[in-house]
Amino acid sequence: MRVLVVEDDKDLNSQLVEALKDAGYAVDAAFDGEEGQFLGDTEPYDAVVLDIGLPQLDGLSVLEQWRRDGRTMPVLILTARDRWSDKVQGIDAGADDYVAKPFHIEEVLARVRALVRRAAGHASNELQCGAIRLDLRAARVTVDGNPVKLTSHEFKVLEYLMHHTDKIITRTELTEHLYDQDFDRDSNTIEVFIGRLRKKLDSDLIETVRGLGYRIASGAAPE
Amino acid sequence: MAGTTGSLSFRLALYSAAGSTIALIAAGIIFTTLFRQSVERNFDDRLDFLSRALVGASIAGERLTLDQTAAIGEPRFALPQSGWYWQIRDGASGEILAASASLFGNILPELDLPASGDDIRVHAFRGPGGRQLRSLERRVQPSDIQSYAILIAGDAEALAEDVTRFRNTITLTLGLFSILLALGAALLIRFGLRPLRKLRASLSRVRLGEAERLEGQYPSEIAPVVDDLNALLKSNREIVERARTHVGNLAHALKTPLAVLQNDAADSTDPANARVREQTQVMNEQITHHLNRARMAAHTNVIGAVTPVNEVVEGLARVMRKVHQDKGLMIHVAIPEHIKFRGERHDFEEMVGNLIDNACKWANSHVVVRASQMRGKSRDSMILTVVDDGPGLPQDTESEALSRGERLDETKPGSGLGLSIVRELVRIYDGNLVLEASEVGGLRVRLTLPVSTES
Repeated sequence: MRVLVVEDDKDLNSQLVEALKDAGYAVDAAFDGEEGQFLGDTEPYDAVVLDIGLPQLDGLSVLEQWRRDGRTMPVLILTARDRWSDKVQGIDAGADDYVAKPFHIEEVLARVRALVRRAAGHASNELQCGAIRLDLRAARVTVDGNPVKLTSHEFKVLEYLMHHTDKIITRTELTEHLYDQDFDRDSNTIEVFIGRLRKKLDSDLIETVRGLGYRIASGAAPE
Repeated sequence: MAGTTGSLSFRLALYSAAGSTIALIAAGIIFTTLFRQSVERNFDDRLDFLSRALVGASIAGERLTLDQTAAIGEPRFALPQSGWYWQIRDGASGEILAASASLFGNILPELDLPASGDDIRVHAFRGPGGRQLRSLERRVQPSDIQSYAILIAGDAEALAEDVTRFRNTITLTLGLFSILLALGAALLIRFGLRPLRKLRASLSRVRLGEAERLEGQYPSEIAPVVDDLNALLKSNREIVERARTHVGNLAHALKTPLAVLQNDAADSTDPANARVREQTQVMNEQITHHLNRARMAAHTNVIGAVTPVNEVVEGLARVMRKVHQDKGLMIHVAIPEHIKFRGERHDFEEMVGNLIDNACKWANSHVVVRASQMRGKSRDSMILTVVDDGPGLPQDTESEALSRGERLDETKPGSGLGLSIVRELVRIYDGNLVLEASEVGGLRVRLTLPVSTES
């Protein structure tokens, strides 16, 4: 899952980036409205954390422009102005949720997690495909109730696939959503992660669609 | 309040009463004097005529040809003590040569006419019987050696009576006139001061928050005052708005650094961090608290604000539907378009927003917001209800939530229920807040607020 953080305060920005990276997201940071807008326009993000009071271009304008251009990624706005009219303005501009400053990072993490999950159409914090259960909050995976140890990259791949069940996910899409923009992308590593996942989960749940990518089925494990 | 320097009406009434009284008394005196002079002149003319008639009847050449009984056009000269007399003396010796029968042997006093010349003199004196007489004396000199002093006297009592009667009549007339004048003055004051009463009514509407400025046309004497007052109201509003903006900017500027500090101190077991956490928490609470207080303090001075209820609640509902999306809440808003809250938009949002947010947090599936307008005795009001189907408040919590006073509010800004600020705002707007069990099992919050009846 890839997240964009747009916040002009350098300290707060790095705190958010660190916390989100620790939570397993690929994170890009922008420090003003124009940079944020550019990144949002060019990179596929699964969620955006957007400050309202930004230099160059304020957050609401950025958001409105994105929505006008048909970008639908969930956006969490950070606002120091916590009056209801500010919240109404934010939501009407196309925000999906808001957090009032000052906040605890956990609050932001929980909201981002909920937004990503909601965008994928999942109602709970646990995703399930056949025998595999993935707990988003605890970042834990079990097969038939038995915990499975995954590296963070393996977890990210599985999480993305399970968020988008029954859909063919190309390798490019996976790399785009799993790594931030500074990462040296090599789609071969994806194949390595898929292979390890298949072994660790002891399942052929992850299906290879030749020439296209991978798919995970939502229902019972295919026989 | 400024001290009063008496009533303007009273002052006007006093001045006009004093002025007209003096004018009327002077008029009375002048009229009476003129009348007296006119009546006396008439009387004197008559005496003069009678005197000439007497001269014509009595003097032929140098000799006196008259007898006592001659009636010279006036029968009262023959009646004894009638008050009408004539008397002829010798001009040189002063000897009485002839007198009217009416004198009855009495003598009229000699007058001090100059020794020569054809002179006429008018004199008032008391005659026989003590009657008030008015006489005219003339000297006739038929030849160089002979002269006569002819005195004619008439009863002047009637004259005095006429003057008295006239004075009474004129006093009565002028008295009536003064009453009419007083009525006129009262009407004048009433209608003349009407713009002032209108100004007062307009000002009180502003004070009650029903209008933003003084409306209407005023006479040129008051119009500058009205313009100045309007300018004052406007600058007052601007000052309040500016102060509020500054407080807001300061508070919001502090929030980002606070967030940084708070999060920096969050993930450590260092006791110094614990203190930072604690203190940032306190700072945050203080900011929120004083920001709210500044807003509210400012709002009591902001007048004439009107807020469309439906529009605001729909906006809040949009936020709630999105924010509480996971719960799949049905948020139903049923508010007639015409209802308008008489007060600040942000205040209304703060009150209703917190109430709806609470309801959404507790509700299982439904939240209903309704409003209706009520006609009151002194002013109209609206009742806004927020109903949820959550667990509701336990009986004791409910009463605690309601009985919490200001003291607790000050020490605990932004308490868990968010109700302290709501209650504070409700108090400022002289409204009413009731928490009760709803028929669907959850909580029903009933908020009564003033409405604007302006269209």
